Amino acid sequence: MHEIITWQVGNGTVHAKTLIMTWTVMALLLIFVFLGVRNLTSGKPGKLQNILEWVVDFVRKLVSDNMDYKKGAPLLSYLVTLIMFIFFSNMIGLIPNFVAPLFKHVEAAKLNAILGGATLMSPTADINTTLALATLTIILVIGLGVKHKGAHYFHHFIEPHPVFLPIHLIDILAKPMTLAFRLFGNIYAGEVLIAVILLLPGLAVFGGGIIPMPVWLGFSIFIGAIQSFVFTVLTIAYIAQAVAQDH
Amino acid sequence: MNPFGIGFAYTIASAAASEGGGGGNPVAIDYTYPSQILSFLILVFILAKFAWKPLMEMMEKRRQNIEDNLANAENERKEAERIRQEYQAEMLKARQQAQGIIEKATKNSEERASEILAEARKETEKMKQAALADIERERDKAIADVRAQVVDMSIAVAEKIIQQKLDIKGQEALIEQFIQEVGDRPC
Repeated sequence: MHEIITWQVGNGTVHAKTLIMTWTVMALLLIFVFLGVRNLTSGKPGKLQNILEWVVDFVRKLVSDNMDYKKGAPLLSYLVTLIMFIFFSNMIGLIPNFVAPLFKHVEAAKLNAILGGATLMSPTADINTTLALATLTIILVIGLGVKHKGAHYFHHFIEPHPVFLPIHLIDILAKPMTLAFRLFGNIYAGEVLIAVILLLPGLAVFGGGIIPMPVWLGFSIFIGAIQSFVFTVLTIAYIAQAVAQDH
Repeated sequence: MNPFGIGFAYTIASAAASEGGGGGNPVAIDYTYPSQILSFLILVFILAKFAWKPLMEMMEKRRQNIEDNLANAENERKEAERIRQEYQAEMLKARQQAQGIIEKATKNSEERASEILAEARKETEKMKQAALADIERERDKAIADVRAQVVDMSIAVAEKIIQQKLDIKGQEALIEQFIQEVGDRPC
C-alpha cells in the first residue's frame, strides 16, 4: 500500500510515484526491447530476440484468432507494447525497494517520500494508469469501428431497436471501466497484501513474512501475467466486435 | 478539481477521499491520467518505430527465406528426379547398345566359324583329291615298272630257254606270241 504523493502542476496535481514508476517501467522496457532488437537477424535469433519474437507471435495469434487478421495487423505494435507494458508494470511492484537508501535524504521533488517504502510500486496499481490504457482501448474501438464501417458503425447503437440505445451507451462506458478497474483492483490488492504481510507481527524477530511472502509473490507473478493477458485479449475482442462485418 | 469530467470515477474517488481523509485514497483521478495516456502513446510510438517494425520485418524476412528454401528444395528434388530418369534412360540405351554389339559379334563369329569350317572342308577335299591322284599316278608307275621288269625277266627267261632248246630263228613267231601274252597279262 503506497501513500499518494502529489506534485502540483498548474491548478491540478499528479501522482508523483505513479509517474516515476511509469517512467522507470518505460525505461526498463525500452532497454529490454532494444537489447533484444540490437542484433536483429533473420537467421538464428539470440535469446532476447527469441523472447520478443515469441511475444509478437503470441499477440499475432490472439489477433488472428479473434478477427480478420488484415484489419488487426496495424494494431500489432500497439498490442505488443500494451501487453509488455502491463506485464512489466505488474512485475515491478513485486521488487523490493533497493533504491530507498539512495534517496533517503533527497528532499527535491519529494523524492525521499516517492522512492521510500518497502517495495517498488506498480504503475498499474494506480487507477489513472489503468483508466488511461482503457481509454485508449475504447478510442481504438470507436475509431476502428468508424474507419472500417463509416457512419454505419453508430447504427449498432440502436440495434435491434432505438429503445436499446441507453443499454448500448452503458456498454460502451462499461467496457473501459471494467478494463480499468479489473487491472487496478488486482494489482492494487496484491500490493496491499504485500504491505500487510510485511506488517505481520514478529517480522523483525522471527521472520514472520518469510513463508507467506514468497507464496504471495509467486501468486502475484501469476496474477500479473494473467491480468496483462486479459487486458490485451479484451482489447482485441472489443476491437474485433467493432470491426466485424456482422451484417 | 475534476478537469476531465469523468464523473463516475471521480464520485467514487471523492467519496473515498472524504472517508479516508485524503492521502490514502487509491482511486483519485487527476492530471496523472492524461500524463499516462501521453506516456504510453510515446512508448508505443518509440517501440513501434524502432523495435517492432524492424523485428516484424525480420520475422517476415525469415518466413520468406524459409519459404524460398522450401521452394528451392522442391525444385532441386524435381531436378534430381529428372536427372535420375535421364540417367536411367541413358543406362537403358547403353544396355541395349551393348546387347546389340554382343549379338552382332556373336553373329560375326558364327559366320566366321562356318566360313573357316567350309574352307577347311574344301582344303581337305582338295588334299584328298591330290592324294588320290598321287596314288593313281604311283600305281600307274608301279604297273609300268612291273610290266617293264616282267618284260625284261621274260626276255631273260626266254633267252635262256631259247639258248638251251631252241633255234631262235625257227621260233621267232612263238617268242613273239609269248611276249604278247606276257604283255597283255595284268599284274
